[in-house]
Amino acid sequence: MRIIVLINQILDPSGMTVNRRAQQVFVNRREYILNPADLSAVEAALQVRDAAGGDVTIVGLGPERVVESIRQALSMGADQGLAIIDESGAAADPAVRARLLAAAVRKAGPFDLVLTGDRVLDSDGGQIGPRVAELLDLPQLISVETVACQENRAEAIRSTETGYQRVEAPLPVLATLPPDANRPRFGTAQRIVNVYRDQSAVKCLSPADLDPTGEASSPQTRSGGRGYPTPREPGTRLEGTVEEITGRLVTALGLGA
Amino acid sequence: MDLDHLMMMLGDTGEVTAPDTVQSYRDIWVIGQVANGDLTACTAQLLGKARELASDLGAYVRAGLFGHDLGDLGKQLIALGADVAHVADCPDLADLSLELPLHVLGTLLEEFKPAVILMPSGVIGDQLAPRLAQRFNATLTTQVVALRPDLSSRAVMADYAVYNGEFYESRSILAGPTFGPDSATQMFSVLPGAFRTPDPDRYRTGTVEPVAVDPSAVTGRVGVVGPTPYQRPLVAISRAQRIVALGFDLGEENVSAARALAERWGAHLAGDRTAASAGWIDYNQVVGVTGYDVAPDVYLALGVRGNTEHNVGMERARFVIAIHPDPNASIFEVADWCIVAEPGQILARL
Amino acid sequence: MDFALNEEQVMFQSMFRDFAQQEIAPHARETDEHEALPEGLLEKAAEQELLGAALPEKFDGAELDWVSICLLMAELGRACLSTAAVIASHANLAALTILDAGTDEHRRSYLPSMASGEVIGAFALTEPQAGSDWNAIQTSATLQGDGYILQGVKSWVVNGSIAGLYIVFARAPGGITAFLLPAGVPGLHIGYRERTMGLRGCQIHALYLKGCRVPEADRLGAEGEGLAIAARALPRYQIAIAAAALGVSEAALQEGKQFAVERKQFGVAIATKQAIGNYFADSIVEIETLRHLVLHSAWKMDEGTISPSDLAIVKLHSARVARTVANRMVQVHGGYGFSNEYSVSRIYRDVRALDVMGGTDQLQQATLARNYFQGALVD
Repeated sequence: MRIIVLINQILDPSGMTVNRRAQQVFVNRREYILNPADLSAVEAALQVRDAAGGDVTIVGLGPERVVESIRQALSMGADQGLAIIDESGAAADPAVRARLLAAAVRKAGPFDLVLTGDRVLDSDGGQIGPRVAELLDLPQLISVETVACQENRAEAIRSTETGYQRVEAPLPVLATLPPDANRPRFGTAQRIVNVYRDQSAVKCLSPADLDPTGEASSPQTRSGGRGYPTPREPGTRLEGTVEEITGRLVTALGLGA
Repeated sequence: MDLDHLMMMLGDTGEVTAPDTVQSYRDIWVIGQVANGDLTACTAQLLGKARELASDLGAYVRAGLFGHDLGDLGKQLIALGADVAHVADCPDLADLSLELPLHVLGTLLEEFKPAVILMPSGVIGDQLAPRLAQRFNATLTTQVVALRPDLSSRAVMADYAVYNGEFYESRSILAGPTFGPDSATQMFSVLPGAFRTPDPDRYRTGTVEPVAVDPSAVTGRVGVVGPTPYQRPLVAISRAQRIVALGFDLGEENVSAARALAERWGAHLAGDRTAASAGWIDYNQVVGVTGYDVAPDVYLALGVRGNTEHNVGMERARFVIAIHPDPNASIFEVADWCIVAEPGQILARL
Repeated sequence: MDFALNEEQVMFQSMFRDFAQQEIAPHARETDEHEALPEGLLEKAAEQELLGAALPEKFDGAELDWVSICLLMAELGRACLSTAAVIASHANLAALTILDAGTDEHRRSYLPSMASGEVIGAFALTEPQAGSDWNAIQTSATLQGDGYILQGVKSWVVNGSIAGLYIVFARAPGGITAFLLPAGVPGLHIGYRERTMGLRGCQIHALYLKGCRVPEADRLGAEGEGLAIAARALPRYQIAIAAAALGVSEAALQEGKQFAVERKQFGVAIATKQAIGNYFADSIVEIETLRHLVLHSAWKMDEGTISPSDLAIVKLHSARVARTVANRMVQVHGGYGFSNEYSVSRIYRDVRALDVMGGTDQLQQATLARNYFQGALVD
């Protein structure tokens, strides 16, 4: 079982205060962390490997500091890492990001399972999973709670309006996980030591290695400018009979009938 | 009406060529979503917004809808603002498995080459949109909270939510105008509630065009095995996406109902200090100064009074629904939906 | 001069913090209330290789440097000072002393199981009549056949009731000597538990030795080497305690900050009041100086250049900072600070122990003054 996990690195939101009135983001502590949903994906990958054998490759894309997040995944038990170092910021464009990641997955060799988070906190990066699946022509299992592989099929559980549902797809497959799908393990001291001892554990590539013509890495869009939600207003009071209120709640929470 | 076309008709370019039967990159599309046999509120909101953009930029609004037993929902799309509604009604489209809708929408896109596509976030926006965007080399912005026409570049700019809606970033396209033969499609998947819901206009005219569906064109790879019991692992509540929070005024007798709701809704149980003292939750499930800061998508507070030391811990929640019998409870100062009622009464009917 | 942590140390710190904040901090309150560490917590710490962090790899340790060990202790202290004290006593006092003074046989048979948490260590030096004055030890070790008979009372033994292995100091014919006593050996009785005002998660007990037989093979070091062994052990404990003090000071500051920002009086957050602001400003200065001092001392430990005065300075200062900051932050909380519902109250009770454990403040002062005037006073 060869598993590839695509990860993103984000600015730690707990070191950040957003002041809606002042229309400003205050960064008190500039620390970068592994995107929480991707951390779930790493844990899910390790669980699949522990059950079915095989190895886990972590693929990260970003400025050089992304290597530290890959190392974090290695300290949790992943087998090797592949970093695509992009200092240009072109990979902020979801299409570019997906193309480079798909190229990296191909480069990493044959695989059975690609996992990633179903959202990226600092961007609208939830697109990456389906986009990569499209590029690699894989079936996709989006926002699943668990993944298990047996023989040539992947089985997953996803949450629907009417309860949990079991879905399956033939391997190879791409699945995405929400940030609260599991309890990611911590790295261990010994593995951290080993990660730094073995400098070859993380291979580094540049976008040009994956896309020599530069065609795939030219962005179509640009992000810039910031907006803020209006400062929290006093909420709406829901009026009506208990039945009416309950009806709205059922719809809002997506509880179904 | 597209501005280029108008110019042509005014004789500005000298030569008037008959427009293609299908004009590429001229229309604004809305892909609708159906829930419980009706269009979702977000679909209506998107049609309203599409109309606005259409009058600013000079375009037609087309709607696409797929599903089964859609009845006269096509007409509703017209009433809400579409000029043409393309409706794919087929039993194989009843469940929201991905591959057939992807094929149906893909065929439509290939044929009509929309300039702009608006979709509700959720299954369509999160699963279908990125694949479509990748397939047709379209740009896609998800988590959209605002759309603005840029009249000088004749493109649409979007604000999208990052960090769970803590703030927004803007995205614009680098290439030329959105409208016109050399463009690429701009896709947007929009969060519910971003726009005002328009009032339907029953006298609006438009055409409903059925879309032929050939289920045999695709072989589905993802299969639904069936419902399954599943117990979510207990994660730290700071990572939870949905939280049911208990407070002392919930009442001991309603705790088990609240637990059941949390389980059914796939939410994590939490609460304030009083709930922990009452033994309903563990101390590591306490929200606030003495416990955790949480940032779920939805925070449902049942009988939580909302003292400062609790409220500080849930400020980053995206949407807060509070149920408390006391209209002056301070939880209502931080709630988006305030329900003044005995939580037990509501719980019993959920 | 390079003041930056290296990448590896940064990753250690982040793992330590994740673990401590997710697995220890949520239980700090119950640790205090139930007067014991939550079940399974030490096993979890062992899985992360935190119990044997400083031990060599061949004994299943992670062989971390002292800077990393201090980062660990700071994170443990931030999450729960009781837990930090339990682990420091086990790892820094007991395990490292066996590594330092034990035979290969001792190391092989005890260290891997101490790294895995199977065996928790305790350090039994203090006696009712011998606190700072180690020379006053009265527990006796008399030769009998190929071993010793231990007789006496030990007090203030951290991990007293959970330990699987005790390092006991007793007066043998050749002078004060250290012995290894596995739990359950005949004649070793666990005495009453100290009821303490803070660090209530630490199980601190008296130990009664009534004709307890120890084979010669279980003697740690040579006869009469006991005080030297204890003197070498102490720095490893002191630096850990100082680092934990740094962590707990930061925790107190954080509690105070959260309260000061949220608490509104006279219509504004109390954080905007100058009197409150000054508390924070002073605390921030003290914590920052302590951070540099702790890490610099750890670096000196790694370099092997640390002196008894250096240790006295960091130990004395860390306890003071923790006590002062905790005291201020209780005051920031107003009446709430006096309530056990708020973590700052527990922190305040806990940090009081820092002035005593690992050598009292007065002992540190005496060491410092003596070393400072050494050679200057001629009479």
